[in-house]
Amino acid sequence: MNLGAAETPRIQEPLLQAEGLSKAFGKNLVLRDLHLRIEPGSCLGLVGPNGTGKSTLFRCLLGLVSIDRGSVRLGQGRIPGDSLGIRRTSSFLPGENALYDFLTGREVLDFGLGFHDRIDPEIAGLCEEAFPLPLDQKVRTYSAGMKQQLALRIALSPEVPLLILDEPDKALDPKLRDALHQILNRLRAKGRTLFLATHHLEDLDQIAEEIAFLIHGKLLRGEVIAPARKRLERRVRIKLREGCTLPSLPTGVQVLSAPPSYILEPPPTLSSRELATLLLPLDPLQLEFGRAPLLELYRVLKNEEEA
Amino acid sequence: MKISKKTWIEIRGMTLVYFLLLEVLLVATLQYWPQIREALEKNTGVFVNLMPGDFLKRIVRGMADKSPDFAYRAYIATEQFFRSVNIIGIAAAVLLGTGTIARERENGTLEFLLSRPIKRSSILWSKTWCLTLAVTIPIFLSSATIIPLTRLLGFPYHLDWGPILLASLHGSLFVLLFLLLAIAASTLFRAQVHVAFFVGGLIVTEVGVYFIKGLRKTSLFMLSDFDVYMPILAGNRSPLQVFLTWDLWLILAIVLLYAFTQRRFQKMDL
Repeated sequence: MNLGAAETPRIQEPLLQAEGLSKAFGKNLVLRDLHLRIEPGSCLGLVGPNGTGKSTLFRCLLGLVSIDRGSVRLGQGRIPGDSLGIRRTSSFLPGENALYDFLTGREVLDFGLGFHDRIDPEIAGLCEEAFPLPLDQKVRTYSAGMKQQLALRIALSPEVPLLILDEPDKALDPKLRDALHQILNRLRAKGRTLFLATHHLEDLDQIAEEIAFLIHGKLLRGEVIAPARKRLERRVRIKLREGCTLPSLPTGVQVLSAPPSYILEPPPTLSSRELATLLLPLDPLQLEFGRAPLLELYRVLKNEEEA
Repeated sequence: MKISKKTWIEIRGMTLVYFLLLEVLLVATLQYWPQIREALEKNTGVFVNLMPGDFLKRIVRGMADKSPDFAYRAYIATEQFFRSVNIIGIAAAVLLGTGTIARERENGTLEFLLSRPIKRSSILWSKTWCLTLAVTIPIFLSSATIIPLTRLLGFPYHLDWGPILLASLHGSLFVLLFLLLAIAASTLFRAQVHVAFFVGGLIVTEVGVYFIKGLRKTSLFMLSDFDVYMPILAGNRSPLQVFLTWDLWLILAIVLLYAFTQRRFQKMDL
């Protein structure tokens, strides 16, 4: 008889857990005491401009780059120790889609998938449909977009719990990006965990259920970014028609950007809805509030971190 | 597809060119033997005096020996093993070995390769044995054609398979040493050109040292010169003697270099 079982709250084991991860290249500290926890079945998006260490973070998690301090745990794998266990439990799409040019597409596909124990036939089929390629041609004849599609077929098809995708939508046209989103959604529906970085922030907003920001080597997410997100959600963004100017605004409203697209921050005494209502008579091209665009959020967090 | 198969597809063209070079040079070399033999018989003293170093004088004396069989073996020892193995074999080993890791890094494929669920030791092993076969089999194949070519050209000399295979094995081990050196350097430097510069510099230095009388004994090429191959081809060294005198040390050096490379590759960052 287990009397305590019913009362004990269930704490879900994270799929991936990194503790106190630090990595420096010479004097350049890229990751600073970084903590990361990814729950099974979740989708975490990583935001940060080029050079902030997104790829380094992915490489550290997979044991491709040594870490100076900290630890990583994924499934049976651990770093330091057993990075092979981590790579067996995950599939990785490198940011640089360099593939073996002297092989045919089919040979690269066989090579890339050949190391995994199990391939998900449904996802492999979806990938084949979404990313049709001339597989009998040498990879050297492929365009950048075709190479990315081939790399995606290799990264998405293995039946592993975690997929780490570094810029999966790089070099893809809008139609292919849509196809990719559908496959990612299907993977999520199948309970796979996704950790991905992309520069298409509007897409990330749609795919990922949570966003993390990598700023100055620290990972900011959840409660840490909630105040900034709330502040941004209070902002009103308006794009005026040509020739139109802003009317006189209530006291305390701050104008944060130049015409014709304005970002207005109301004072605490005024709600964003009230401010937006005041602006409606201008018949603007665009008027929105209650949203925190990722790029703006990133800038605010970066300024706060630097301050 | 396995790593070794991928490596083979990558290097098969170079391996074929390497074998053809060895073979073409061998055929050309053997064809000229009657003229060379005739000239040496007539002017042995002149040729010997023309040679600047003792080891070169020994080569000429060997090729001008009264016994036609001995002279022919001296010629084979010089042209096929001392020259072709040491120049073409080592060049092939360096060309193939320097790219093992450095070229993957330069092409950007190293990240793709290392992120596969496979041990790094398996990656290195797969690549190394494939390259080992690529640099050694052409030496055996080319040397194995010496006896048929000798018969085809109508030469009356007697050659045994045993000494030729033993010399091929020794030459292969010597080339393998440079292959391992190149693979080790490939994990140390980021660009293939730097690896080639390092290994090439080392080889040029070793050759330079070999030609300095007082320092010759310290050169690696002492392990693969006329004075090594001639006794083997003459049948004066048993396999055990060859193993204990030279091959044991070569194998030890190869194993140590592999262990170093393995250790370095395990800890190597992208």
